Amino acid sequence: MNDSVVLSLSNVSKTFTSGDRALEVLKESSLEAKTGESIAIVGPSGSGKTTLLGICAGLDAPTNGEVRLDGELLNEMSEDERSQMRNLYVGFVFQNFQLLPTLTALENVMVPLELRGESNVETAAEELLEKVGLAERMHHYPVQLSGGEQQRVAIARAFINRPKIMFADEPTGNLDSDTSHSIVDLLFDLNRDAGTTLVLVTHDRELAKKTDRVLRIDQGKVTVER
Amino acid sequence: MNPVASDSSPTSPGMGWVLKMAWRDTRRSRGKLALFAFSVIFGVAALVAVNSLRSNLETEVDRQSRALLGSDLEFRSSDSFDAETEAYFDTMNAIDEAREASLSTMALFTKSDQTRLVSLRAMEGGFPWYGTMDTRPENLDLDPARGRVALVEESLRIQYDLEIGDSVQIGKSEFQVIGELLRLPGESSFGSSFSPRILIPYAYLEETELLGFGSRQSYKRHFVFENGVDQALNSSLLSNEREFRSKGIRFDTAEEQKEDIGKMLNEMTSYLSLVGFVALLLGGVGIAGAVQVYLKEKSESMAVLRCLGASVRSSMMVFCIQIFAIGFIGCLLGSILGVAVQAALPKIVQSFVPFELEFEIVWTSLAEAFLFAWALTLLFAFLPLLPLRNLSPMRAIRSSMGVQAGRRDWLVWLTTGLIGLIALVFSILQTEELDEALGVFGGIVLAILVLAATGMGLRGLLWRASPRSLPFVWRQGLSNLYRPNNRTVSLIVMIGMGAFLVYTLYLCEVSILKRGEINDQDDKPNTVFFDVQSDQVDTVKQLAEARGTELKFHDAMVTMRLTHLRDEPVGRLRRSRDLERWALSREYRSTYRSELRPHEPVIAGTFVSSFSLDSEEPIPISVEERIVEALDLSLGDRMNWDIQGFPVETVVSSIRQVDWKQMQPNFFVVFPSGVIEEAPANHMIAFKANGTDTIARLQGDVVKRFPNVSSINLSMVLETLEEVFDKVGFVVRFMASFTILTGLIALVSTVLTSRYQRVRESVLLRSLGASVGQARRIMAVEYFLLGGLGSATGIGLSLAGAWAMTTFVFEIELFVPWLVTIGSIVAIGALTLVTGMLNSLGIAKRPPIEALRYE
Repeated sequence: MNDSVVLSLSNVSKTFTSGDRALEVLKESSLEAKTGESIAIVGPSGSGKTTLLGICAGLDAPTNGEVRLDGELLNEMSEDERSQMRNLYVGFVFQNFQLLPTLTALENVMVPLELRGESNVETAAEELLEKVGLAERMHHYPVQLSGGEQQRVAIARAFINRPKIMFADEPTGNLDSDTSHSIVDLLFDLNRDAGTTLVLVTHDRELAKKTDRVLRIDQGKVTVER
Repeated sequence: MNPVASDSSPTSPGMGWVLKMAWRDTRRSRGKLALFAFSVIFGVAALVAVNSLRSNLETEVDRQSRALLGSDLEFRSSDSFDAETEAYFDTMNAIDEAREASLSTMALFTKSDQTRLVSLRAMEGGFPWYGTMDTRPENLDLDPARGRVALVEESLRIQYDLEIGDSVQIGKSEFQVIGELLRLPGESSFGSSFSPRILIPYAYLEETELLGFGSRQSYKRHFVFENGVDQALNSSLLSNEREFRSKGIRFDTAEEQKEDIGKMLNEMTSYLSLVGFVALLLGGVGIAGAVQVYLKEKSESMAVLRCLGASVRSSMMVFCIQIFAIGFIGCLLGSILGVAVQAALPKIVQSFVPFELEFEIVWTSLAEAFLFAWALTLLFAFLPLLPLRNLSPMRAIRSSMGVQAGRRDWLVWLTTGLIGLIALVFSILQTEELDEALGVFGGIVLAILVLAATGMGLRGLLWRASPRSLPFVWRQGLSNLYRPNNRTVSLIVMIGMGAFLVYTLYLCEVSILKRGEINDQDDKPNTVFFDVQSDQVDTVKQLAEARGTELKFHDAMVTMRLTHLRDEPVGRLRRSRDLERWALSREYRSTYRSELRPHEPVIAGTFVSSFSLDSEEPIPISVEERIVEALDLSLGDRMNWDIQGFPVETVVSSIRQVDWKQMQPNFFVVFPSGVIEEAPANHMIAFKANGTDTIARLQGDVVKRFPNVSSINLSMVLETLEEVFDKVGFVVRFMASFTILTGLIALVSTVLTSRYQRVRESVLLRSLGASVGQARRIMAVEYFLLGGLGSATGIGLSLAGAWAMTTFVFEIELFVPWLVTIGSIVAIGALTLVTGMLNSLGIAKRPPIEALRYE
């Protein structure tokens, strides 16, 4: 871990409007994540965790405040510029895996590099799938894989573009405890090897303990728990 | 591990990836894409087949019309053509010409020494160039080198037992019979029943010494051109038309003949155009539904792609390419199917249509149908696709996130506008009439608005006044129609549009066919006697009564000529350019009656039923509107007649509009009863006889007694007409079935669009303890109401639509089969219900947890 800041949020708030009503889900929150650091965001349901994650990853724009990813200000970027930033610097692991159902495991892993317009990406994807222990399941479709296997594919896909920052949204939320352990180990091992910053949203206290820092979000306000 | 460095310079994925992704992405969705293709296939097939059949029919009508005229251009006159006209003929550069003179005269059949009034035709030249003159033996002609020869009408040969070599004396000349005339282009056998024809070479006409004597003569000149009547000649003809008319000369071109070939075929092509148009629109509704179902599943994949860094453009392109490709394939398959149907049609309908229908791929129609269908397919498909541009990538981590709401999507509006524009252009091309196209288009837009208002009305009504006392299943089913995510308006619009379009088409079809039906045939006469002299009438009626026949009508025909119009002698008026010469100089065959018939309503003045010669006032007569136009007549105008040497003064007291298509004698002038009964007259008497045997026996009885009387068996004519209408109806229904098939697919894909929402809800209800039966009944209530209201509104609108179509486009009376109408409302409602329930069958059987996972 070095001290350079990969992600910074300053005074970020997010308000959703429904009809005449405005609901402030995120209130003037600030945080920083340094290279190689791992951070857990915890909080009760409806506290704004997913909203915060979406804003950090450039999936959504804040109502107020600034978001910088690798020094670039996301607020002023167009939707496509943010997509490019995600493709270059960001990896995702989702609670419900979110593999593309029509693509094989190998093809799913290849997508982020293909999106960059790179060719001959098959070898890199195969190596990553071997690394996550799916050498024999590369040509299977998501429906032919177990939950744990699907999440391994998702992790391989998240690391294929060697992201600077990895976002994981409840990565073990849909898995049994045995599978969860192995997935968490895999995630942290790969993260350490690649020197990636890891931001994960979780309810799982045990998982949060494995991270360098824990941020707590409650009623839209972010506080440092550890 | 050798991950790719993150600082490698990023490039867009390029078309290669988009194409690869588009292909990969179809792997698990090909069934849904097939539904999309199906919606397209049948619509395009119907369109291609209808367009091509229409072109085929038009070509055949064109060919038929030429054969009917036998030439490209025909001139007619009651006098021989003057030098000026002959000079004009020379300027037309015809490649061939023929002349004909005809007159009514007595023929003496020397073998039996019997005489008969015949229509004598003296002919010269190569006429007919289109169609054939059918003779027995075959291929006889009237080459002057054959000498004084005659072709006699088949009926004459039978009536007078003529054989080849027998003689017939006409005027001062004797001709040798060389065969029978069966058919002459441009003349119907019906017409010749009045006066059988005898054809002789023109060169020997003068020898008969009949020219110039009392008998009414007419002259014809036929021309054929290298490329038919071209634009220049047509303009020249039109600019000289007035001049011709002033000399009593009329002309007909093949083109004019084509227009006259009968309203029925025009109605049918208009109707078939409508079939094509409706098939395309219904296909569009099906496409929009199918694509919506397809994209419902794809929105999450799209969000994931966006998370992984795909640009909006790249991710949209993946689906655009799929839609382009499947649209193309669907249109291509549809075109192939359409051509196959069109290829099969001539075989199927050959015996049904009254002309040779040859299969011919009409490439312009094919290309037109294909391109229109493809463009419309893409636009309909883009409607549900375009909002996905605004899909938030957040959807990947939060499933409740959808398309970012807010501003109006101008691209969706633009696409809707383009659909409207294309539909308008298409309807103009199909109906070939701007007014009709605007009417059809406006009607469709209005129907959409009424349906949308009905949907919104239902939603609002249920929201405000949903009965709380109803059982749970009903309450839940009704609330589905107004709570968030309801699809009430869109489903009612789509179901209603399907019902509206298909049923409008159906009502037009039955109205057209109803018109074609020979109504109450049992009540119509089937035997008609012509040329009955006044002293023969009673005997003919007695003979008919003895055979158990029923008298249907009896018309006396009194020949007369106009001598003065508005007190001016006709001879002087002939020079007037405002009056048509034929109407001044023709021999009128008028009748007298005490009442008018239903097909000849009075449109001005009052019909006087009886009058007395003792009155000093002129006799009040009723005239037909064409004569009114030709002679510029008004009510109260005086007309003086020469009725076989006896001068009669009349005054126009009423004007009639006659439906000339009725198989009854029709008259330009009708006198009241009580004034011209004593004038020498020919009579036409019609009976209804039971069975063809009776008809034949009665004909024998009358002809043996009165050889001068001719007779025609109308039931044979009616049977032929009925057969043609039946078969035309078959073609119409066959083509319409494609539209109905497309309508069914559209209905399935429409109902499918609501499936996901409802399945998820019914699964949630089941997890709360609802039984499968309850979950199904809730869905049934919703689909029943949507289907019932959609179909009732749609069919209600179709009554208005069909009324407008039959009144303004086809100009016929609307016929509504009420029982079928009510049955259709129930059937479409039931079909919606069944489709909705079938959709949910597989899901309802699953345990809630599995279904939730599945979803």
